[in-house]
Amino acid sequence: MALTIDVVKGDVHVTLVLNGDVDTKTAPDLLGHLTSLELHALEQLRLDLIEVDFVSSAGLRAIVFAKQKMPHSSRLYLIGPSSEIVETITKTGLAQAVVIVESEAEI
Amino acid sequence: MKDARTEREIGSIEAEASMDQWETFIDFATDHISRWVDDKSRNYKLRLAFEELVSNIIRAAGSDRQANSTSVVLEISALERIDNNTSWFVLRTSDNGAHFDPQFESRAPVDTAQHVNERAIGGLGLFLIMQSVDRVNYQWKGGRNVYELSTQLAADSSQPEQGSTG
Repeated sequence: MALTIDVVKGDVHVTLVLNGDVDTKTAPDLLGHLTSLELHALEQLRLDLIEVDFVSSAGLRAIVFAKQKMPHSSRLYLIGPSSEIVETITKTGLAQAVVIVESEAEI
Repeated sequence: MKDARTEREIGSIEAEASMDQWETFIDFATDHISRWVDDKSRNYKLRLAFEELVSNIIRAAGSDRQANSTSVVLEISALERIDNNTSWFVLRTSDNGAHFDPQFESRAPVDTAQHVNERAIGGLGLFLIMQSVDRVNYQWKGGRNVYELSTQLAADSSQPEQGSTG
């Protein structure tokens, strides 16, 4: 399934609203969007995964890339990931690097 | 006494191992997985393992193409296997690329406790393959890399519907 990404910029955060699958074919699109942000100066990055059904290791690598480029004090939120995506993130030890919330209202 | 094992092929496809054929491979697998594996979590994990595996095969094929100017052909089969009265759904890949043994049995696990800022980017794919299916096998057979990803089926999951064997 194709991936569409909408970028919403706030005062101290950027939200990427993803719709589709983040797999080997589409993860480069996500990485491209992340690379275009000034990650080194970003306090908060929010990835809205409510409409995402699937994230492969290529998608996880894009998330790791973003977190590595962001300041140590920054926060990377994953909004509304499915239980299967949360399980993958937890299994790979990446849950320590992100904050998982059910909706943006929780932030 | 020998183990009782039978298997039948449900469907198969063959195409060049390249990203141009990505949807062909993924659509074949997801179609069969959705028909055979009812459990949502197992369904997701098998798809995840399959995507990681095919991604690795295509990447290796790209290196082969650059080094030898040869095309790698990837064949994928979906199988139903009965092994000692236990039903399995199996996705088998077979490719004529360079010999690559992932050494699943002896592979060191990814250090999941390592802080994300110190993480190397590689290694997650094979880790997820091993973690996501009940059985994973590799064989170098007849000059081909042959992988099998197997998920155990619930007792009432075999033969999902008439006419679904293509």
